[in-house]
Amino acid sequence: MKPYNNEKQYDINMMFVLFIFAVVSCFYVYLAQQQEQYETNFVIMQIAFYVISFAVAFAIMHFDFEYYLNLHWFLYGFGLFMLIALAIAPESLAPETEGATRWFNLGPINLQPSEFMKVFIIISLSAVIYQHNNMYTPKEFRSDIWLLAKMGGIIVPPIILLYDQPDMGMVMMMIAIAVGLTLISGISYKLLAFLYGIPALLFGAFIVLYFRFPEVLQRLLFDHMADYQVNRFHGWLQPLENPDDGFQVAQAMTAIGSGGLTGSSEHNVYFPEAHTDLIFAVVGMETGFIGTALVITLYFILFYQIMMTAIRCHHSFGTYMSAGVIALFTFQVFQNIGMNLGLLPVTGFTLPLMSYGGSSLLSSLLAIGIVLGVYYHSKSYFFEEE
Amino acid sequence: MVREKRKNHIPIRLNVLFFAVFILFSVLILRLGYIQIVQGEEYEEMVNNNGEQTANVDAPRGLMFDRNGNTVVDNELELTLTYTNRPGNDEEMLEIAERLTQFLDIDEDDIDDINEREWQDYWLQTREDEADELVSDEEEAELEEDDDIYELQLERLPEEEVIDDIGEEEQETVAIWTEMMTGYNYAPHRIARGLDEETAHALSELMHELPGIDIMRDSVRAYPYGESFSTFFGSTGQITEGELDQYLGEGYERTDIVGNSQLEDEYESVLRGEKAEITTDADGNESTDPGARGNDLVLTIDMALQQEVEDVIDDNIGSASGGTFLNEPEAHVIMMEPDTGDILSMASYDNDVNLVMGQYEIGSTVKMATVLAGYESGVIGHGTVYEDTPINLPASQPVSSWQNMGAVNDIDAIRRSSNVYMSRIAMEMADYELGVDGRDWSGADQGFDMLRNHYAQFGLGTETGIDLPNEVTGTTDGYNIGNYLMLPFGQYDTYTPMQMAQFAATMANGGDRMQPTLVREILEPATGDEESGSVVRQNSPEVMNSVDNSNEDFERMQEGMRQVMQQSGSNGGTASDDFDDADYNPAGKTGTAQVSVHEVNDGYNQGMVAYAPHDDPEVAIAVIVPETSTSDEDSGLANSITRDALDAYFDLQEDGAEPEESDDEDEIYQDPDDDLG
Repeated sequence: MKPYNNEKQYDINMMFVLFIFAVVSCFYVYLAQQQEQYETNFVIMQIAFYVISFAVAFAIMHFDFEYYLNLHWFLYGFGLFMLIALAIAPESLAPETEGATRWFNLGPINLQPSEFMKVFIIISLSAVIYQHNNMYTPKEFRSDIWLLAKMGGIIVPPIILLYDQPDMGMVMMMIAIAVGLTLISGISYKLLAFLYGIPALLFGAFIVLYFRFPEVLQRLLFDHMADYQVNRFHGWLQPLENPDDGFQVAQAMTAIGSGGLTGSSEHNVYFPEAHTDLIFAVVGMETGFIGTALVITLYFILFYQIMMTAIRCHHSFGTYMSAGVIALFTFQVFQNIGMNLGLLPVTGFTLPLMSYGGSSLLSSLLAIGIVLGVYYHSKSYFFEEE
Repeated sequence: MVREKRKNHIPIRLNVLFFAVFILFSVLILRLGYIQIVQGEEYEEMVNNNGEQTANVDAPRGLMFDRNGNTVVDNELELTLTYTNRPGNDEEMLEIAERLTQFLDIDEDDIDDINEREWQDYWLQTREDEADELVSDEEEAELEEDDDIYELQLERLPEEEVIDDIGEEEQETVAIWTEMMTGYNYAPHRIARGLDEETAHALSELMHELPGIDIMRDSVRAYPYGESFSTFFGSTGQITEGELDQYLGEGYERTDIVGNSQLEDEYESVLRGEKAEITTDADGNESTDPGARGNDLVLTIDMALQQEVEDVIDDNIGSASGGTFLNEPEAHVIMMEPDTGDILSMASYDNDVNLVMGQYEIGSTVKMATVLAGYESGVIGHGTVYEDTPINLPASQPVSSWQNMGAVNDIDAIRRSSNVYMSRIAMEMADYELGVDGRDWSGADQGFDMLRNHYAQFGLGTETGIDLPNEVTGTTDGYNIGNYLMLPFGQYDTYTPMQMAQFAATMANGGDRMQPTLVREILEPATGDEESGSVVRQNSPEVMNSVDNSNEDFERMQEGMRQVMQQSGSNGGTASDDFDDADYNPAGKTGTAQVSVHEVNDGYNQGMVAYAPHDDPEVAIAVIVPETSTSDEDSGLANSITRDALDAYFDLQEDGAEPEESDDEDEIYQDPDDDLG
């Protein structure tokens, strides 16, 4: 008798979670488009996007993830090539919108290379970690540093290109993925504490200074920055006092707050991007705390599913990729909801799987497709060894 | 086995990662709970307010009537073009400005009002390519900041060239554009007033193509009696920058019209109308609160008398010789009821505000107060006699009367206007002994205070309490010993005409300082069939204080004032030539203060305080004609103005003539401020 079952298995639970996301997403997009500002029927479109994206994920699932180990340089190179092409493309192909160049305009389709790059980065980083860990055993301080250097080498080129667009949100996303993966990669806790403790301390100090000793911060930092950058800080940390820069946030918070425990039936808070970036405000306004808590729980269940896949997978490359996807989604969800709640500055992130939009959905399901593939190609042991 | 060892760390690390995710999500849930459950109600309230739309429709201000019920300040409806500015619509604004040129009449003045920076801004905005050429690429790269580049462009743009380049027709566009730019964001701003019906109609048809443009019904002030008293009605207009915070705090809006000066300002809270309010709630239901016109003021002014007095001033100054006035002609008259403080008329040549804001040395008119101060302090008694002969003391200016009078008592000193008598009182007050103290004027400070305290009981040198903003109180704070002996006959301290009038009234009524007032009653606006609305508030006469002197003291001084006007012959009253034929039993006091206008003592301030009839005063009057020449032929102006004004008053009491309405449109509709149109 074989010690393990070689039958391929679909991750039915995950697919069910996705189905619930599709239903919930369409429901809230429908509520969002009741606002006077919209005339298009986004729900139909969203259903179509879901079907297409799921089909793509389903196709990717059947691709054995171990091949990525050989392919990842090609994918990474392709992503990088797209970003470079975007940087040098003429205005007609790569239009400048609100001071930033982020996507190609290819007729009816807008293609945002960074949406794909983030998935390729997960694959590449996972592959590098996997190969590194195979090569260097037992791990020691020097090999840890060497691994960090390699990971840095992978994320720095796209970060430079993204910084140039500029798209600070995406830069932070790249960093978040890398941070998540270093945690899993087996680098010693001491090194990690050193690596992340210092920025965390700096950030904490900034927040304390901002609220307690603004004049010190003014002298140390704000005097050396451009006004619009400073205003963005004010708009983030004091949205209600700075309505020009914090307008979106103030409106979103008002909408969420007005929802109370069970939601309000009055649809009279106007805010832009209700069906995309600020869909969470619609959730808060229409269905209250109960709705928002359910949506957050739904994400938690999704992450739990990915987590189970990661643990179940006995090929650590699959585990790394799954963990990378968790980092990706966690960052994006936390950033988007945090922005809606006035916890984090405004960036153009959608709420994955919830916001309306084909690109956003496709890139999310691309990542999920990889996780589904990891599950599908994992061998499940009959007798787990402890 | 290497492989297994390597794998072992992974589940733990995954749990760490998952724990981090859990922490982050907990933060979100906590924050959500706080916003939605703890603060939920506050936000909900905010939203409900958001949903309710309130539109205010301006209500007209209250009217003003004179004491006989003639409407002296009225309202006229006027159509006004407004523009509501929004940030970031620069091009749209230029377009609208250009289209509006077809509808608005722009004249030379409007174009002259445009300043250099406005010309430049317009030019830079409309001629981007040429603007770029002003600054080379290298400079642009070097400066980086857009603001710096803009500054450089401005520097290289001479005003004349810009104006020439813009051309005549486009200049009109610039005038409108400039006017549109001055408003606050999101608040309608008046850009042109007094549109005719036709223009308004044409504009309202195009309104949807002109975002931000609206037409508003304004009510503007009309003055049926033209320039008469117009200074003290005051003006209305948009809220000034300095007062903005205060008005906003009281619930005004930026675009509201408020009283900016004099009565309109002083009684703003009364005159302000209650806006009609149209409230639309979230479901689209409208409810209307009709609002109301502001309350009306009934003034104490008698418009017929006011016009007569204005004519009297004009006639007297008109018939004066060319050299009479050392500066611009100036003359002030205030008439008031001694028993109530009601101001019956107050007029100045050329309608200036010096009646309450100008200060003058008023000369001998102050002498009654000096003698009364002497009685009260005990330094003289009734009938005390002094020798009127020039006094020339060390460390003091020499004092003499206009003639050497010999022995004079207190009443003679008023009738004949003895300066020496007054100075002797002052010397007593300062405990200065003739021939003994020499240069020792150490008691002068005490004398200054005694005299000024007593003058203040008549209102001289202190606030009269007139219901106008910005009253001044004269200058009464010098302690120059050399001038001490001049103070008691009105040649040191300065006073306002309003203070003189209060002094005159106090002399007339025997010692009650009445608060002068311009408003008798406040009325609710009249509804349809009523003649006038019900009384909201009645201003009852207010005694501010009673002078310390006894009735007998006052009777002596009033007798002196009677003799000034009615005792003729040798050693008679100083004004008897002008008044001995008056049939209304007048009493008064002349005054001529020597003043230095261009050179030392080159001019006179002619003053007079008077009342009539002597036995039962109906009217008190104060007149001052400042800075006339010292020649004899110019000396009688104050006397003759007083005479003519009192004549006019008593004539009016008999025939009760109505005031004459103005027929000069420009005078009736005075331009409130310098908007277009």
